[in-house]
Amino acid sequence: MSGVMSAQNVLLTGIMFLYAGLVVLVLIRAVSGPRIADRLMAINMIGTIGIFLMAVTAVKLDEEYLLDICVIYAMISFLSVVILTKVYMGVHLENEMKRQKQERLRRESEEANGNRDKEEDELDRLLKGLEELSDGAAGN
Amino acid sequence: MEWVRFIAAAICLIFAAVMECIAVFGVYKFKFVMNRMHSAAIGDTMGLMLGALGLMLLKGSRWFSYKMALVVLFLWMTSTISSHVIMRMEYNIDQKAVEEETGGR
Repeated sequence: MSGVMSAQNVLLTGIMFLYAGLVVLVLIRAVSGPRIADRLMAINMIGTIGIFLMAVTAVKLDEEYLLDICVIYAMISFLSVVILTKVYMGVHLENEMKRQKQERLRRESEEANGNRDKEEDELDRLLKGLEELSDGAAGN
Repeated sequence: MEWVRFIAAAICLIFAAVMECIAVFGVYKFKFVMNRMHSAAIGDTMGLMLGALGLMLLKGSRWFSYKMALVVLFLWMTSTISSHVIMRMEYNIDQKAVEEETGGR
């Protein structure tokens, strides 16, 4: 019995150390991930590994109530991922709307500039014609 | 009998650790978010199931097993939903990159 208990302790301690190393690796992925989705996925994975670590601790310390914390942590982790995606999508939609509004304003002002240019061209053409007319009159 | 149960639990736990290592390796190996997410799902489903099975065998208590099964079922439901939500966000934000990566399908 004692042999089994000591072997169990060694196994659980080794697994806890291994999972701690994996958490560090996933955290590096979360910091260096080029996209938002990379980071969110890594955070989700850290949550899963953390839940498993809590369960291992519950067995190692022989405290069953730690599993209730596991359930609550799973719920909070899921909720955080869903809310973060909603927030990012809202921010992106707002930026997109702002960009489209600026684009529309720019296009409208460009159209106004283009009209004024056309008017100036017309004015130049008329002035040139007037000069030619006056030259012709002077020649005559 | 104790030793048989311990060895079965140890095999399950070691396989769970191997699955989680494969998931983290895949997260580093692949280049695009979708592939990485596929790899992360291995750890969320197979790794957690084997780990919970090993812990149930190790502990051998009834209510512990029920709570552990509840955690596993909840995570099986929520990890798929959160993967879907993250992917929908990625597609909405950067549609062009996703279509380039998947060949426009």
